[in-house]
Amino acid sequence: MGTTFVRLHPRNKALAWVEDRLPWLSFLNQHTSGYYAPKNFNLWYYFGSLALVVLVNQILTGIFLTMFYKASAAQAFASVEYIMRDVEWGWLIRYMHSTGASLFFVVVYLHMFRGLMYGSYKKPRELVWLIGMLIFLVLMAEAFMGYVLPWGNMSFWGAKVIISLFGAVPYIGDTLVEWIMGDYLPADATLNRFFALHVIALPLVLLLLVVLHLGALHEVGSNNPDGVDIKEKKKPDGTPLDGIAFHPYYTVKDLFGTGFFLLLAAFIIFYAPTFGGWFLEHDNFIPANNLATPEHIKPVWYFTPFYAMLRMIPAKLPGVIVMFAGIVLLFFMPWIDRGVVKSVRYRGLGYKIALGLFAISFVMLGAVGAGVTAEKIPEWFGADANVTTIENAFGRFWLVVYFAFFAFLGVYTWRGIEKTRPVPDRVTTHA
Amino acid sequence: MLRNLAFAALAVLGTAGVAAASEEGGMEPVNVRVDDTASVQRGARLFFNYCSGCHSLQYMRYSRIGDDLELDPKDVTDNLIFTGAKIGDHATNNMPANLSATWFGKTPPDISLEARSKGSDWIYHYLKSFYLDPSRPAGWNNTVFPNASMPNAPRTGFHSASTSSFGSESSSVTCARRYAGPGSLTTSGSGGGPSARCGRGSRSGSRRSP
Repeated sequence: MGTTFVRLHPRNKALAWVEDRLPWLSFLNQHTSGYYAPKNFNLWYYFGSLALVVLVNQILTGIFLTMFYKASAAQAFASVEYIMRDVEWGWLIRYMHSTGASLFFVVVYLHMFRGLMYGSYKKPRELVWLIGMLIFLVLMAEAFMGYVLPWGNMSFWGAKVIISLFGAVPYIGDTLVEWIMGDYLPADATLNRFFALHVIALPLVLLLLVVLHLGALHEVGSNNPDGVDIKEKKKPDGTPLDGIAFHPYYTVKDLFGTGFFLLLAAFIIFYAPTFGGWFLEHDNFIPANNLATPEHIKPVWYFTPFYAMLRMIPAKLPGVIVMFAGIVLLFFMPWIDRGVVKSVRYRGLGYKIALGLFAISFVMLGAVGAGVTAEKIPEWFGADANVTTIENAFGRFWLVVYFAFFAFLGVYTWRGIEKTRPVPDRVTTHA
Repeated sequence: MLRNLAFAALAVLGTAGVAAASEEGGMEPVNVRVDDTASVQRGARLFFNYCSGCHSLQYMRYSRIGDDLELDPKDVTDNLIFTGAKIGDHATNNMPANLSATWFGKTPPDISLEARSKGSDWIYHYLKSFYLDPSRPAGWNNTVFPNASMPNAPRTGFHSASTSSFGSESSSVTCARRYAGPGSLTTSGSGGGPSARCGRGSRSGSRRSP
């Protein structure tokens, strides 16, 4: 067990009465002051706590939005404008929610990248990684449904495109799509059920998964930037030699990190809430109209890499399979990467290059999915350039690089080809 | 550690700057300044006199216009309300949806959020890009929005003949359009911080959005 359980005996009679019947203070103590984390956490280790902060923000702002939002196709768009203009501070709550949604993915992608860099998915933390990947899947569904709720034009057309992907499933595809939508096209029925799922069903699932994620982590203890197992060397009192109590050290440090993050978030919320059309898209300020397709149907930025994977494959079912494979393969990281050395700091040059290319391919695919390449190609290659050919070549190249990461790792780490450096037995710090 | 923080801050603020600049949509930026109250007031006057007959501002309340434009409610009621609406009502109009679709080819849309969806630059250039085209039902076409159903109401509506004042009146209306987006006076709408001014006058030291 990675935590120390100590039975607390509060002096206050009322607290002691409760504690005897439900040792909640002891439980909290066990998972904060009794949880020893490595002392060499760096910047990359802020994002887990930040994800929790953003989750709390989404839930709180979401509750207040739900008080004024009307989940009907006729009233949704107007109710959002009502929140923005007539509800006191409604504009702030709405912007906090929309900015929070995008920042959630910024934080989560950086959090996942930390896991890849430092081998946090390796034994004994495979389950932490798997639950985390489930959280990512649920988060994507939650964000997708949330985007449909304002019932803007992009909400409608994005919903139409993404739900129609389920039509690729053989035999049952079309029935499945109609069942999901509750109609022949995204309509009032779709909006109502997405509202229910977005507001209560998926948040409950998300909260449960987050609790399990932290529980699984605390059972085995946190990894660290050196990939050193701190539990191997203990002090006389049984606590890890290279560990420090989560409370007060990391509660204070994470509080600082939260403060800085909120500062950046505040700049965005108050001075650039639409973030140039990246967080709140222009097309979504037009009410949903199934007779007027937007010029470019594209998802919000955080889905663009996967959308690009879908678009680069010329057939529907293979495209859907490739897109899902891009996410599903990540689930298998603990078994694809068989290297014993955890942290990138001590791994072979091949791994470092592969990881770097993987990150770049994710960004490049995102640029393709967001339509950036479609915009830039005429600028760079001339107005008569064949945008489709060039974009396909570019996108498919980076698609191959993305999937090659997994193939490469499988081979590279299997036969001992990787040349690792010796891992120290104590953690390293700047000081 | 502090160095990492500094990089992180720069990265985020830098991208915010890029994001704000890239929003212009490839058109020449118009430098609409929503905090030039006199200009926005002129825009409101022009809008309600020449545009509101066809285009409603259904999400905008007259009282809010009065508050933000520093206008007395009585001035708003006397000069800006032509539908008999009360000061707290939304600025709807009486253009019948189905009939206007027959008359113009398309119902004149509500434009409360036009500046948010198309951008101020688009609106400004659209208003200035009408040209005579006998093949169109209304006799007008538009280079920015090909085969638009809208006739050149700005030209025939605004009384001034010279292009310079017409230009400034267009930018006043664009100013007012940009204002009608929610929260624009607190957050400068969809751009970044304040830009150079609306309306006519010298353009010394025009500032782009950050």
